[in-house]
Amino acid sequence: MLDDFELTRRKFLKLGGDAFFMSLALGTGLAPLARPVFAGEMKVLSDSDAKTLLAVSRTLFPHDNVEDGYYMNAVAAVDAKCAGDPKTLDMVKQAVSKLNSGLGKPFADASEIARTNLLKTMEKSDFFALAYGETLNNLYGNPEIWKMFGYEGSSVEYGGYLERGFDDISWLPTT
Amino acid sequence: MAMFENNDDSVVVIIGSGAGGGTLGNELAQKGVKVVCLEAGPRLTLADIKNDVGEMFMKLSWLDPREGAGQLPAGLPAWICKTVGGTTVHWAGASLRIQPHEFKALTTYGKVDGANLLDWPISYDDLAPYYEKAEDKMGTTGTGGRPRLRGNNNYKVLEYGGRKIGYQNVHTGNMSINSEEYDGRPQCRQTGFCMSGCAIGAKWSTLYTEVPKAEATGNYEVRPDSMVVKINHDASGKATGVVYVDKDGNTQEQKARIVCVAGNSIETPRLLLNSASSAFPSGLANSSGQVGKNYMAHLTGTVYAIMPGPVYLHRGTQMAGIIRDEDGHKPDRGFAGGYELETLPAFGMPGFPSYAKPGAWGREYARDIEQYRNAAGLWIVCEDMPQETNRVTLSSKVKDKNGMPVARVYYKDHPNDTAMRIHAWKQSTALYEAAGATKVYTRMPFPSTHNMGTCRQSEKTRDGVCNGYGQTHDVSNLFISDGSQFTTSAAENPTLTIVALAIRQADYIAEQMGQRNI
Repeated sequence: MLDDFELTRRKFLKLGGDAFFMSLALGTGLAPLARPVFAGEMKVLSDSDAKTLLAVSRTLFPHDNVEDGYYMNAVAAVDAKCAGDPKTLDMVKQAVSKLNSGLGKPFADASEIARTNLLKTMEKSDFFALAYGETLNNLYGNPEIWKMFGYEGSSVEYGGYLERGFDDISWLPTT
Repeated sequence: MAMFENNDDSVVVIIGSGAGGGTLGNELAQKGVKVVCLEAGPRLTLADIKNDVGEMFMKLSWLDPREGAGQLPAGLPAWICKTVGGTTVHWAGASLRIQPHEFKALTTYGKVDGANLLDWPISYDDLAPYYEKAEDKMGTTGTGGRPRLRGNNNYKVLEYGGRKIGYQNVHTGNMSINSEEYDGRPQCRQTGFCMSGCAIGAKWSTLYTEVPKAEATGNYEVRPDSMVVKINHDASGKATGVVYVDKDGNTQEQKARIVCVAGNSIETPRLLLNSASSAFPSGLANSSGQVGKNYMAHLTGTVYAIMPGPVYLHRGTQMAGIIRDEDGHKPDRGFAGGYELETLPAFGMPGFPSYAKPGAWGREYARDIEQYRNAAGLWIVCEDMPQETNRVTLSSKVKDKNGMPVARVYYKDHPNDTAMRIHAWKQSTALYEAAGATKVYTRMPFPSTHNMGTCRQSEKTRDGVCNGYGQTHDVSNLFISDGSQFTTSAAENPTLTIVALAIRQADYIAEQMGQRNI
């Protein structure tokens, strides 16, 4: 059901505003996938496009110990946006083509420094905003990632933290 | 539960059900005064409150279109609520009294260029007994013999670093969050989602205190999803009722003996401006021209630090402690007024990576995100200068779905504000470094949750919109009942003062009604 809540969320996203609130709104209603999406399951993007977008996401927030699958959730979200809007698809296709022609080799095969420098030149683009937002929200909206980095999510069902370490800090000097 | 007729002109109509409107309604209802409260937002229950920052942001926030200008975000100039309970559903619970000297800002600070400073028409002593009533009502910790909350990890870092750099007035605050069971509400479980709504009701909110208590008197009706668009008046210039759009989109008029406006400091002046008539061409109660002016939002800022060990700053009350050493007026620091340092959470994920350093990416930033569990954070809350140019006006371009012009909010820091923020950032950085921080991020304000001053109290009619009771200078049966009344912002979180003013206003209204003055 596309309830009022979802409608409000969509309306709000059109308003623009502080990145903080955009991220809250974008993060809302996500159902992070238990099983990462893999290439070959894209709706409109090719496997090669997906590979480039994966490299973009990994360049934006490189965590060496995080498997590709978690980043692929972001790629799948970009793919879903493309499937819903031909203009977005066009924009993404053009950006992918630019990324793959700018470094003398496929973007995904370039060094991290080269990828970073090229992405820096595109920071103001719509494509960057899309890839950035989807990576941020899909990668860090995933409870599996929360666990890895120490965010513990909803606590009320466990009785809060009163008896679960709200004041268990151990490394501060006691003086 | 009472239901009143639209044409019942004996009722007091209160617009808004938050700290001001919710409290005022209950106080009046307890005295036998009949009240109709019109609330723009829906009515939630505790079961609707989830430990999910994003979901609750969307459920609670005022997301109707507004225009932000100056330094404010264009689409969301302020972070306040549209729901029964108003911003008391979202607030963190900090309940500090304004200090005596802050009520006399002009006298204490002297004239400040570019600022529209004024002394409040009331003194600390006038409000002190009402502060006590407010604290008892809300169960504020550290007052009335109620113990303070225990500090969480994030607080312990603040306390340690603070003491290291010489601060002494450091504690877990005066919080309207139950440190033990109080008023039929449970003890805080250190859940960690205060600002998403307290799912167990340990934090005071009018949603589950004042509103149901008022209903139980049989003198009170709250109508959710009812957006007031205009206040009507008669030929003598008295308010006669309000026009509102109900939950089904139908326009209604509720008659009233008295109208009290408590829509938060953006919607309150908007409503007065939208109620202009041939008798009040520049807006209702605006003979001074001050309606909408002197918008204050507290000068805020945020600091996050990566510490050498785990903090898990999402565990426990979000505003878990305070440092008050900087809240005096010490001009040798290079600015007038003072500030508080209060802990703040990171709003979890994806919150933390989104705004520890907004827009940041790349390997170094990813490494900091990986250390989320070691992050600590605090919020800077400073008195900001009232400026006539910081103001709420009506948009010339955008109308809401009811055809009413939306609020355009302009805000720009005063040089005094900027100097204070830089001082506070430096002190906060020193504090975390003294506790061993490996990296410190300072960031500019989030959209403001503290909104004040757009219909300010003044002794003289020409200087402001209402008197020391919130009664407008121009319309004797029209009251301002929220933070819009604030003559200056002071350094303290505003809710306790809004509640104290509402209790005092209720006494005054009941007395004036009894004397048939209004």
